[in-house]
Amino acid sequence: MLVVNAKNVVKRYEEKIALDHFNLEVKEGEVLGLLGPNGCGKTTAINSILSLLNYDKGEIEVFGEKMTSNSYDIKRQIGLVPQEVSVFENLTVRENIDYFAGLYIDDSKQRKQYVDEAIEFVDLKDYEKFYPRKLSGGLKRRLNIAAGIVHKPKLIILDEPTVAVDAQSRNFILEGILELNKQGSTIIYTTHYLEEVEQIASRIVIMDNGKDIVSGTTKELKEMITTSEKIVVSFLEIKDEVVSGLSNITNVIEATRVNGDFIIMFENGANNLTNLLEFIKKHGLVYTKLYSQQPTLNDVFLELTGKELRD
Amino acid sequence: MTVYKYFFKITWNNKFAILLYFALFLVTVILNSSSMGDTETDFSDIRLSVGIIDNENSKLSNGLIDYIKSRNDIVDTKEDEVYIKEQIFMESAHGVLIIPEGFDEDTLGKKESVIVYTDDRRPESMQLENQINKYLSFANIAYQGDEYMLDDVEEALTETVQVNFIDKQGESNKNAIKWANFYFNFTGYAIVAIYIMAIGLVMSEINNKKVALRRRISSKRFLNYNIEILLGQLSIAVATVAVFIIGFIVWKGDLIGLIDFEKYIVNIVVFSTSILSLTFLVTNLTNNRYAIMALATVLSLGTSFISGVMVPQEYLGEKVLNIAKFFPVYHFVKANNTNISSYGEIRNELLIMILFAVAFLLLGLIVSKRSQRMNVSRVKSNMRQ
Amino acid sequence: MKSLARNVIYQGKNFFRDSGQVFWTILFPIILASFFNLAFSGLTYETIEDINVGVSEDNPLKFMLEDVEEFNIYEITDESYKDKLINEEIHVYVDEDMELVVSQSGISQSIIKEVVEQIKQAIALGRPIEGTEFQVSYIKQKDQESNSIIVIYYALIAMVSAYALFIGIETVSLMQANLSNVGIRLNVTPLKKESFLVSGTIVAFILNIISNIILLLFLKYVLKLDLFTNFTYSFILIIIGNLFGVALGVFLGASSKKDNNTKTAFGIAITLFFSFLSGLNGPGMKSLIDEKAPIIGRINPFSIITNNLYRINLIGNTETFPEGIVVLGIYIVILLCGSYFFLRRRTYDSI
Repeated sequence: MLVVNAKNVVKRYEEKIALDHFNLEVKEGEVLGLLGPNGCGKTTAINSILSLLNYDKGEIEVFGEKMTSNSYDIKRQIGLVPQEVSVFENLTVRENIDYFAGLYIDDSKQRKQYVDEAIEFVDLKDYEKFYPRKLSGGLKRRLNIAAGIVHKPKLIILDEPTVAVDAQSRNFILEGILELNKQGSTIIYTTHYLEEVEQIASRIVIMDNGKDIVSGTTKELKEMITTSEKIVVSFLEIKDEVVSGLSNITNVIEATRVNGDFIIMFENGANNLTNLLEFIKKHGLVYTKLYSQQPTLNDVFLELTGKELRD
Repeated sequence: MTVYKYFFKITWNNKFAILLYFALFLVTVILNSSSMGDTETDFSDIRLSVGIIDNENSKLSNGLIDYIKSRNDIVDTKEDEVYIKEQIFMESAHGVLIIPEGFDEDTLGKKESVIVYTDDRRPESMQLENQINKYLSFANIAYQGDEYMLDDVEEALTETVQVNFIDKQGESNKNAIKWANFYFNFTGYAIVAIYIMAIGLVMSEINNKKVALRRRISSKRFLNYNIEILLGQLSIAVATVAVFIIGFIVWKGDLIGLIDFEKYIVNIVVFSTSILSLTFLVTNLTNNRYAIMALATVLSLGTSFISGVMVPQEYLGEKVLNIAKFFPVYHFVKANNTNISSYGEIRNELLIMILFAVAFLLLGLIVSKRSQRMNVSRVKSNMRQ
Repeated sequence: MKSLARNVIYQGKNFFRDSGQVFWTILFPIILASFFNLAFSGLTYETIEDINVGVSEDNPLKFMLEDVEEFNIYEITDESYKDKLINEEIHVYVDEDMELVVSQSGISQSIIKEVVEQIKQAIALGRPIEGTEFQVSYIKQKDQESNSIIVIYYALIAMVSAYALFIGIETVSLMQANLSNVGIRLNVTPLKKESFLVSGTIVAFILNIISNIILLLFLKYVLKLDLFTNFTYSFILIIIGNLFGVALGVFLGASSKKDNNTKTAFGIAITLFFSFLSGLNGPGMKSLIDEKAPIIGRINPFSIITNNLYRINLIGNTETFPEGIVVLGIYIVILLCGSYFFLRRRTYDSI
């Protein structure tokens, strides 16, 4: 079943188009990474799906039913971790989580259990009685997550959960997301950090300028682009005539010079590195640096849109 | 000047609220000084609105009524205590007389014979009572052979006393000076309120933004930052003073020639600097908008009350005035109310206000430095977690 | 029902722990009342302290004036009285024609003028006078509490009864996704907005009534002011004032997309100004309004509360009470309808 099915969604802010015939299909049980640079419309997409924003055209269904702001039954099954920390300033960690839990769970015993589990899950047990303003950024984010998932919803949406978070907390959060998925929740997760998406997403949708550009697993996406290998090499010394020869090596798409390094993009081929080494030997070059890189999602994005993913 | 520009931008964002304060306080100042400036400075009695009920209807009572009529305006009233008190409360009557049956007898016996309702704390009520007592006393003196010789009384009462001012020209000045005093005293009140509210509003927004934290630990020198902030606050302050001075010129411009306008300007400028410093201190003490608003109202309304803005300094108790001296408003009001021939006469007041300015400023800087250190240590501990 | 209670408790905790707000609603009126009390403690319009009177040589009034205890009489034979007037060594100079010379007007001068005038008139009467004649008071004074001063306290009570508006503003802001982060989260939960709003207004009402009661207790037991004789009606007024404040706060919160600071500033400005009109900063403004534009006293919500508090407690007049309640009720309904109009939107154009 499709947990989320958004078709041809258009949303305009005055003259700017935020969502341009945007489509999104999310299957049950997957971790869907919505990847795109800042300002491409990820949050707008999320907010439209959640019926927080009104949109101009298109259809959005969640759990097979049309999603409106009155769809309280659907809302019961959704958990949101918004981009900004969204908790009550004057309630403690525990009180915050308990409050939001109480909006879904009536039975107080069950609620207490869920709250305990949520606090345990985000490892905030030592900070139960703290007020949000006394927490560091990373801990605040954990609270933000706990408040959104305490009721163990079937669909969890996280909007840029790791922005401005230290490395340790970030790992913690990513692993937590995987755990939630293992426990049975479908996850939608937006970010502009491609390493994260590569790390945990089972499927990726790349977005730019309000459009969904391409979707697939990491492997599928990387196979889409022509560049399959990137080799970075720098020489002690190289004559200009020899430089032009680099572009002529078999399967080379492009060889560019960046700050003394040569970045050589190869098409799909088995012997790219071997060919390059032969070239080096033939011209008697000495290399100080040489490594081969698989294409990253940034390369995918770059090729599809002509822009960098990270601004 | 980036900090100054930023300050101005935030101010502009809040222009609606700030302009609202300007407008409201300007209206308040004008209304207040209007009502208080209405009191005459010459020595004729004010005509009050008086209600009279005569249940005796005797020669004496009619005589009294005629006398009261000649000095006041009569309004209708009813013999209903609730109704009368309502009239006095809503100021449709300043006083109500009820002449009961047995009036003649009681008067002759030198007993209390007339019932009077007034607001007994107002000076006007004393005036009415004096008129009544005088008439009846005179009537008793002129009582002979079973009869009140009221014509004699009436004639005697037409005698008046001439009051001459030493300085003839000074008379019309007096009125103008009174207006100016009230206006500028109330302006002092408005200045305290507006400075703290408007500048407090802007400062709480500036200080709350997380950017402020980063700026504090940036390389920009502490003093430079504060100077530009002060400059921003000064701009708002100057605008405020300008609004009120222009307000006076527009409203009572014809009086300017009759008063020592320069004195008021000098006084208000000196006073403003002390309040600006005070604002600086307040905004460094707290960011909480409620605390700022509360301080603004207490420090403006509260101190104005005890410093002689609403109630003239002559009427306030000694103890009260001593407490009021610990705040600039008192000295500002005192300087306003003093007619000077040279600034030396208000030298003390001006000096004290400047001292206040310096003291508040220093305190503000100390508090600011302390909180900067506290925040830096908190940021550091945050980063550790 | 249970969820309403939960909301009230949690929202209540959230507001109650905002120390700045607690200071504002509870401490601030108490401090202000203390200032008022201080200002009025030494207040008299009637102090006749020593008045220095200069008289001309062999002035016929000299002996009569000397009879009055509070006057100090100085015989001045030359023009030096002019300087003495300017130096304020003497307040007044009485010349041989029984005319007065002064350098400024004031209480002392007015008093002397009254006395001299009365003496002149007595002489004109042409009968022998005993000093005791003028010490009789023919007036049965009917106690009227000091109008303008007591009104200030009522005006203060009226103003703070509307302070529920602050929590009203914040509640609305919390529940709107385009106004606060918590709003975003709340809008995604199955919580109905109405529930949140209703519980917020209940919190506003309860917290503000408590702070009002604290003020009233302070006024009565610490400042020892007996302001209330008719408790029932007074409390009804205060409660309606609270409801008005809540409605006003919700309306302010709902009708604008600006941030809380601005709305709060606006709320303070309105309540302060209209309280001024009802007498908070002294008799001046209120007298002027009552004389020139008394209609304001009937439509300004703060005047309604202030005036009626005065009437029912000090005058015993409850006639205008129903009209006041009705007018306030109309305001409340209008504000709530207006709020509904702004709040009924479920999705936003932008967040």
